[in-house]
Amino acid sequence: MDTLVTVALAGPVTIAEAPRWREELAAAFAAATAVRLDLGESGPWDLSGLQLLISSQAQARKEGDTLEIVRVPRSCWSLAESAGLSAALSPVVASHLE
Amino acid sequence: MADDRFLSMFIEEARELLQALEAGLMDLEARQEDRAHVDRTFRAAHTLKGAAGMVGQRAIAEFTHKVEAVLDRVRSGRLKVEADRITTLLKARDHLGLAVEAAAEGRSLDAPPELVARLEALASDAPPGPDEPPPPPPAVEAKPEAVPTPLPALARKYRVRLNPRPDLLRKGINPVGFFAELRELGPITVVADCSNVPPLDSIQPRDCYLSWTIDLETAADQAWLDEVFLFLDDRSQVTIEPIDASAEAAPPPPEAAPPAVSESEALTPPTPRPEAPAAVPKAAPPARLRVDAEQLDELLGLAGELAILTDGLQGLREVPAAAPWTGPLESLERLGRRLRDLTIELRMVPIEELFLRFPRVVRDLADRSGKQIALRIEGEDTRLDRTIIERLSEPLIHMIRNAIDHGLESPADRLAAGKPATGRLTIGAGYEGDRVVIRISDDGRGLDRARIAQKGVRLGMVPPDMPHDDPRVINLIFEPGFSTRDQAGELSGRGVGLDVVRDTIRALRGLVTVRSALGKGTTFLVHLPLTLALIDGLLVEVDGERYVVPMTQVDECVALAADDTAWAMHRRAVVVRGELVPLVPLRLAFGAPEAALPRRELLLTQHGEQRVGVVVDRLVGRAQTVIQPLDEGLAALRHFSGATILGDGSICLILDLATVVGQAGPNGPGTTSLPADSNRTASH
Repeated sequence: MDTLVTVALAGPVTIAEAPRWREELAAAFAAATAVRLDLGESGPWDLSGLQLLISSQAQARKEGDTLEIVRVPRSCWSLAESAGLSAALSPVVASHLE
Repeated sequence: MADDRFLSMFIEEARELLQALEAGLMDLEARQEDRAHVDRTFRAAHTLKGAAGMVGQRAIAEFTHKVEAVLDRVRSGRLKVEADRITTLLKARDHLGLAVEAAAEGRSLDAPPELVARLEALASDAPPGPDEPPPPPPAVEAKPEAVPTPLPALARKYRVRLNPRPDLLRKGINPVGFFAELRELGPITVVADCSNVPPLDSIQPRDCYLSWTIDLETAADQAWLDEVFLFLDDRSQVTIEPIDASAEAAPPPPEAAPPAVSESEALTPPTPRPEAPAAVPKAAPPARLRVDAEQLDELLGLAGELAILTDGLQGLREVPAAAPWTGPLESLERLGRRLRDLTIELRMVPIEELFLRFPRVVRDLADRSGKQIALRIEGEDTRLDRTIIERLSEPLIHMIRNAIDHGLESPADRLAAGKPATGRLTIGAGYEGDRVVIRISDDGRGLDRARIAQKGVRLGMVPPDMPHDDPRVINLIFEPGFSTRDQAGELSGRGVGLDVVRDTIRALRGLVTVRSALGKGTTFLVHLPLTLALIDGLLVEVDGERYVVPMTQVDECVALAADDTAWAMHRRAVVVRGELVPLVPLRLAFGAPEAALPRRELLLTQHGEQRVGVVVDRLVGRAQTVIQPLDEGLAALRHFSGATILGDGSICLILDLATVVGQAGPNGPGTTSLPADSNRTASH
């Protein structure tokens, strides 16, 4: 049976916090077969943070799990577009924040 | 706020960057037209700013930003570099040095307001001073000749591949910033390659696994694009290729094409990164690791012990039954020695690390003394034990200070003496056999031997009839409290220092000598062992115990018959080739009983201006061994500088003759310290 875990990322997702967020996300994938990342309260973002999202995709692919990202803040998406990462993230992004 | 580990990494990196910044600033005035040099200097400030921001050291980042802004104006040709501006930048660098050290202690340090104001004035677009060139026309045309000329008429297409080093983000460098700069040159398409980003369970979250391909259409030529990636060091790869019509018509083969990130690619297994084309890649130097110095010392100790143990096994070659193992034994010995030698090599660092500090020291002292000095540095690539280099800074700076204060004359005095107004100061290093010699040489007034001798006589340090060219006269300058200056100079000349210099060099198993010609100049020579890890010693025996005496402390060995000793002025002495030499019998120094030996050995060593003979029971032979420091609990054993393991596995203490003789002193156990004017012809 699929189990869904929602991880709400609140606050900065930058290189300084990246190790802590990696632990949180890895724990979510260990506990569930479907992971939803709610970015509604997150920010600011930097490349390390975006790279964690890509790494989450790789983890889902490796485990055969599903990943969904919701409520992506504008600042996060804008950075992803500038860094050429929006195409990679688009398939798992379900919704953006207005 | 960053955790301690990242803070300490920042502190370490910041110290290196500040050193690079200082080195850059010191040459900036002379090399302001050298674009690569200006860029390097600017990059040091820029990287420091980024690194400080990364670990939450906001005050350091903000202050460095001001320095960076000034250097940016220098880069763009809008600010001419002059001595007072360099002084301001050096003061800013000094403040940053203090701020970084304060950060290491968990404190923050406010910048002096006047320094901030001065930097802001230099960085601003305020009207230039009378000596400042008028501001050039904006942006593109303002670049100096080393900067490429834009080609506004013709739009070109380029493909940029950026494959950054893994620690790029940790260095505070943001690739998105490069993209923004490229975007200013023309429309771009950025495609990230995510194929090397590992899953969560194996990612190092602060490393960068991404690489990028950027297509750009611009009127600028390629050199402008190179400018954008100025802050990438050689470990990141950037290739910039023009895309001509034919290339566009025939796209690169699939294996060379960067994988564009699309939905399918983002979700497919990783594919190998495309090889960087050979066009204009930055060469990647060998990877380097920071290693804990204590661990390195421990490794050396183990390697040394291994080499000694394998030496001990060589006796098996003489055992017929062990013949089958002769080959492996030889290999083991070879490998053990190779391991030891390699580990010693790891401790060696170029003396440049030390010499880099001196241009600044000389500049400051020249400013303060009003003297004009041309500094020349030679032999920076000479390699020396890391521990020696760490301890050499203070004594060498003292000798430099001495050369500037006492040696070099004022411009007026030099001109009056028929010399150029600018004095020469040379600091050099080089190899001399298995030792390194550091030379600090000036073309100043030289040492006045007559004056030194006069003062020496007055202080009772030398006899009145001693010839001025006797080496003991000139060596008086290394004696405690000796100075020929009646008034202490601002920089030195308080009679404190050269004795400390000599003692520090001695503690490094080195020797400092001085040569001087009146009116022509003075040269200090510091002879040092290549490493403190190995010791070339004499194995001696006292009361049945063996000790190693560093060879560098022994001038010569003389056999001593039982009836050779004499008493001079109630102290033991011996005459060696007509010279009365006071004795320090180690048996007495160690509290061991006297023994009626038919013959003993005398180790002659220099102590101040005097030769002293240290008496041991017998010489066993020579020994080259690895020194192990004494445990803290044994620090009270002041006669010894360390310990070593001999080939037979026994532990042996290393004697420090300077301490032994120094402790024995005039009132020591049965030793002598003859007054300088004692009867040198006393017979026995």
